[in-house]
Amino acid sequence: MADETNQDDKQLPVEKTEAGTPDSESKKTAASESTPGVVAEKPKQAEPPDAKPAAPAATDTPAPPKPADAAEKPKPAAAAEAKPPAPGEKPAPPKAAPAAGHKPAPPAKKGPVVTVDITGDALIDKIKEHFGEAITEAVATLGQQVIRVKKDSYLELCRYLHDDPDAMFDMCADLTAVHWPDKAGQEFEIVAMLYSVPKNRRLRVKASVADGEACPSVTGIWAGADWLERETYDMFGIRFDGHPDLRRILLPEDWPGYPLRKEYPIEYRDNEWTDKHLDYREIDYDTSLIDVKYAERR
Amino acid sequence: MQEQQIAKGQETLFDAEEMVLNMGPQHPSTHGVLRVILKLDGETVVGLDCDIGFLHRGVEKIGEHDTYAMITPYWDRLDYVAAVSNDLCYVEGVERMLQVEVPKRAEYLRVVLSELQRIASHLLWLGTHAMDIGAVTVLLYCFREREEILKIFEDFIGARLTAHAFRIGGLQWDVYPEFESRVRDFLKILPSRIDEYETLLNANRIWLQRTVGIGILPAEEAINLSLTGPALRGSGVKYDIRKAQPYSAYPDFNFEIPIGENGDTYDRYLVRMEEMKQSAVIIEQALDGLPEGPVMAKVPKIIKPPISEIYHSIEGPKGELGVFMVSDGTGKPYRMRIRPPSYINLQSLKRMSIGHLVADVVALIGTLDIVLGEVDR
Repeated sequence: MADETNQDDKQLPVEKTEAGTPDSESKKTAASESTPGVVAEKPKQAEPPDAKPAAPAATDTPAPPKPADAAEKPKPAAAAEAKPPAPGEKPAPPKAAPAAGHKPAPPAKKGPVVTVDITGDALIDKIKEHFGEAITEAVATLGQQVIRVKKDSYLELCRYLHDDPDAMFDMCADLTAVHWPDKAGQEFEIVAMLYSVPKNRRLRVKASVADGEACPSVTGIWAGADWLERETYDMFGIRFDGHPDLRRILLPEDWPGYPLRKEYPIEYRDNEWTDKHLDYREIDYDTSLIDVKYAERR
Repeated sequence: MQEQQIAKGQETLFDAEEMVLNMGPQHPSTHGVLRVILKLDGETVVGLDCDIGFLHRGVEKIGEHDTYAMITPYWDRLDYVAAVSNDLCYVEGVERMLQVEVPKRAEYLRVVLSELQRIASHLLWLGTHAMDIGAVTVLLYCFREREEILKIFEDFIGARLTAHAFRIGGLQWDVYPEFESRVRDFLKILPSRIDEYETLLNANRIWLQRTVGIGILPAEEAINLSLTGPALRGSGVKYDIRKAQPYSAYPDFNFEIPIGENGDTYDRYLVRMEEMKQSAVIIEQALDGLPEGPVMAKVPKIIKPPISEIYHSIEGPKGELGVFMVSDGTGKPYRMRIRPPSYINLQSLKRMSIGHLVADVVALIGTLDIVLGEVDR
């Protein structure tokens, strides 16, 4: 790997050859076959050469899988049943699941270089003492403190962090989620970035929830978490218990699927929704056509 | 029974005259495609709901499918009137993951450019905010100065609005020879121009009546609502990330953080005006102490941060602009979360508007300084 300092555009060719199948090629082959092929090609191209055999089912299928094949694969989305794909149409996002997840890479195993256990921090020790077993991890990643808490104690911990005079985390700077489809039972990681104005201190609180499980809402503690939780619900489909007004916020109320889940494909056009609401269709229903055009444009 | 019904009907007729009014998405004072659903009692707002998402492009999703270097231009298009500041947030986040040391000269130039961008963003805010309230003249004056900044950007970066100003590791190239003198020329005229705006507005009776006492947010409530940036400082909270958790070259410079007292629209206006002056002070210091040397660090061609995660935030013109990135050791982020200040600040509109008149909602949207490209992402 050259360490020359250089412009970004020079990187692209290098990156492509390393990643294996160039984008455009996989697109073209996919398009010339049938629709599900598009989805099946993806992991191949995204998977790094040294990837663990995390998703052998996906990589071992060179031919475009039959629809039955897709159904066999592990089903990470609870919403999969929500919308069975109509025949001849592109499958609904949740169904495309395991294929489109762009990286079945290993879940964050903390490297020893960047992540260290927090020791000798008065507040963290106090929290650990108060919550005991419920705090499963307290580390500093790149100098930033992260504590992981069991879901059942998440709300209690947040209230404690807000009220305790040593903590005083009076602002919920951000709240979001990360999807780890491979972690069974802990598919979603809620991440709250807390900030304390009086103490000028940041802390990241994490809690894992299973797919389909609800997470307690912290809107009662920080009013600012309102839209943040709505967005997390909108993008991941995680429900927040106790949220006063849990509706989708950026996407339309009846939008199928949750875009930031890993199984939701990036190149996906919901013709059904577009037809129903916008009465406007650029290209006729043959979805393979769309992909050919797209591949050519690249 | 029948009498009761009649009584009830009269009650509805005379006491609860509530109507629902749609404002936007195509409304000049909503600064983009924001739809505000107002519930009115007469002309008083009793309920408010924001309908957003018209500009949603899924930048966070796109980020998971692009390499680290390819993502930067998408950040320009979030808050498209402050593209330079957006880039700063993202590239610094990646640099911190890679643990790259950026050359001092690049850091200083980054500060100069982002402070110029802050002035440009505040000028646009001032012009549109004043225009919403009825002072159209200010807009024309503000655009005059903003144009100077955009010209400086154009000659350096090649773009006026979506300036892809920074690269991971520094700057793509060094500034052109006249850059420094042009920035200094601009700084010379800026204070007198700010005086002009203040002459137009500060003691203007219409301006005062439309802004003083409108949308008061007490400090505690503002913090609880996750408000950041000038909107929070208007409420008297001295929280500026440039001072609180310094990044880039900001520890090297002396500047003040202006704060308001009452937390109303007028205070937020004063805070932003003072911030422009402070930005000029910072730029002056940065140009005076501009070190020589390279502007690009040694960065691998293929950027693969170690397995880690980072939350990095900067003080953007609108507030705390942050990025939360999770790396799985590959060339693309596993997850990229944008903390958009406009989006999070906008949710306090409901709290601020209730009890005020419809016309004040316009002033309050202006005072929050939102950009819909960032709200919807």
